[in-house]
Amino acid sequence: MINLKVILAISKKEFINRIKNISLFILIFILAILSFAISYFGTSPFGLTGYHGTSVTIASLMSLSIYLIPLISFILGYDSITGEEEDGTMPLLLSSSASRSEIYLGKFIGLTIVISIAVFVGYGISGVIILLKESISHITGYFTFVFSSVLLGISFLSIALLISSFTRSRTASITISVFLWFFYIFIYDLLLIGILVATKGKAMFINNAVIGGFLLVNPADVYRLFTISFIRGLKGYYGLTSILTGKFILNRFLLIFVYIMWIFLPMLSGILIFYKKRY
Amino acid sequence: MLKQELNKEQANNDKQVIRLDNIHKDYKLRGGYLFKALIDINFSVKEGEVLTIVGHNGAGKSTLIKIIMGLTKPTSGGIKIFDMDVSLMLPKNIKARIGYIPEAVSFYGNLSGFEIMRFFGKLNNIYNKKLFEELLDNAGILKASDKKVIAYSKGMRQRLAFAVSRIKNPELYIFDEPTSGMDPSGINEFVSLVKLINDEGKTVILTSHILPEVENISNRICVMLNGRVAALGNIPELAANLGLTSKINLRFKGGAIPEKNWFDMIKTEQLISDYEIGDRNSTMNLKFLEENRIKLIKEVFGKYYNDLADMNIQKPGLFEIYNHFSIKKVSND
Repeated sequence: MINLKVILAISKKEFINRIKNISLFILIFILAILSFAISYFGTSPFGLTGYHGTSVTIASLMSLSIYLIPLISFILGYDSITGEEEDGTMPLLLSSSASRSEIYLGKFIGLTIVISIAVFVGYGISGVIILLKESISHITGYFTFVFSSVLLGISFLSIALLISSFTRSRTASITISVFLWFFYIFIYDLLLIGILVATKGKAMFINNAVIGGFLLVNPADVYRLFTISFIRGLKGYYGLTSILTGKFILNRFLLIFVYIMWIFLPMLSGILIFYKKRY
Repeated sequence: MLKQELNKEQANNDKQVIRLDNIHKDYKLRGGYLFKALIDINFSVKEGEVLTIVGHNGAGKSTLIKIIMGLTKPTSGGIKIFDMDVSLMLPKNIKARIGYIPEAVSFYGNLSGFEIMRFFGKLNNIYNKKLFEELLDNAGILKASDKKVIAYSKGMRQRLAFAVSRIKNPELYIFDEPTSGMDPSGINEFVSLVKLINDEGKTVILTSHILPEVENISNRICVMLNGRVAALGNIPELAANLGLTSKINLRFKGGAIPEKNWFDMIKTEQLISDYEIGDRNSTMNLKFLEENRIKLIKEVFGKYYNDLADMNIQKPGLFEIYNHFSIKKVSND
């Protein structure tokens, strides 16, 4: 039986530990500064300057999210379990009446709160600018984007905790985390495009549905698709994913389901691995 | 009626808190080698006793403690704690009855001693400020409870771990090298604390290298040698089984030492089993096996030697028992 009070106690400790992390503050600060710069000055990727509406701003901010938010998640979660093992605090924690699943869930919730605050603070200034420049109806689109960014953070956090549950040292954990970040953010889409170019899109097994399916295997692409499917007018600014995919892939229910899977599957796998982990 | 009560009392006295059956633990090493950390461990721990596990580094003490605490799994064998099979995992209701100090104690450095108590209290569903203060006071660190743990010495962290282990008021305490890093006075205080909890009827298992201190508080000793239980029992039993002799240390006035022939004679008469004449201070050690000869030896020496300054008897203790196995380990190596 899960004890909520125990989970909350661990969440609180994890939250307090992490908000004291200076590197986290630096990243949130960078996120805030860049989001402010992008929303006010920089729509340069689209050849524009100054503020040019919610859609353009969100499209630019999405690129920022994809680089920075998974990185923040990995920094938060990579040593959540291995760190306790290396520091020697784990045996005492495991000897308490808390079960391993309560410990894992407590850590997950604590870190989820931290990443949510990081995203809200990071994108808060941009939200204020949109609110000042646009009508209230546009702000719902922005909230959807922020919500999607929080989900992006949580899904990568879930992966980071999974890595932390099966590795034995901080070094191994950070190495795998950096590799995965690099792979998902820089390599994965290039590989897909490479396959399309190499086969000139004519290979039997390469079609919109297959490419769409492959996109769902990358949480960063799920984030793009999810945000595009919910915010009107964004599709035109975010060519890559929308050009490659058929309509089915922008089905909101499918995307919500996949997003939830990206959060829960790594989490459940992590709990299982942590249960079996021996010291 | 009285007989029934006595039987019941006897049954309670022999109630097993922990039962280990044929525990084996193997570690696979690189290159396909197999390291046998524990080999066929069989023993039980009775309610209310203090069992001390001693052994050389790498003897398997900590691995055994980790297996009991569910931190690692045995390769084969069964463990029962409070009559429940915990071979696969240690359930919450059993963990709630065990207080534990791991081999290397470490806490969250950014929290104070009191915050640590509060945190572990919450994990055990206990929110009692007065209790936390009392336990910190008993452990001798109440005054430092507002300080961040990062500023604590190793000994202070051990004391804090002791206080944390008592939060649940457990029936069983498991301490893995609890005195490591403590200064002599800290060790003495720790021994007093173990006495205190044992007097309350709690069962204690501890591993230690500090032999003289734990000797007085241990009901039984488990000597581990290369992953096996080499000996188990109380100190007089173990000494007798190993054929360890008691010693009488004699010191004479003004450098007078009895003639060697005289000692050879009483050795031939089997009053003593051996003797050593010291180079300095006019001392000598007599080794003998049977306790009932002490009186006779005293009488003989009292009668024949007016130059005897003092005489003290040294029975074989944990140190001698441990030493016996250390020599065995070295010869095996």
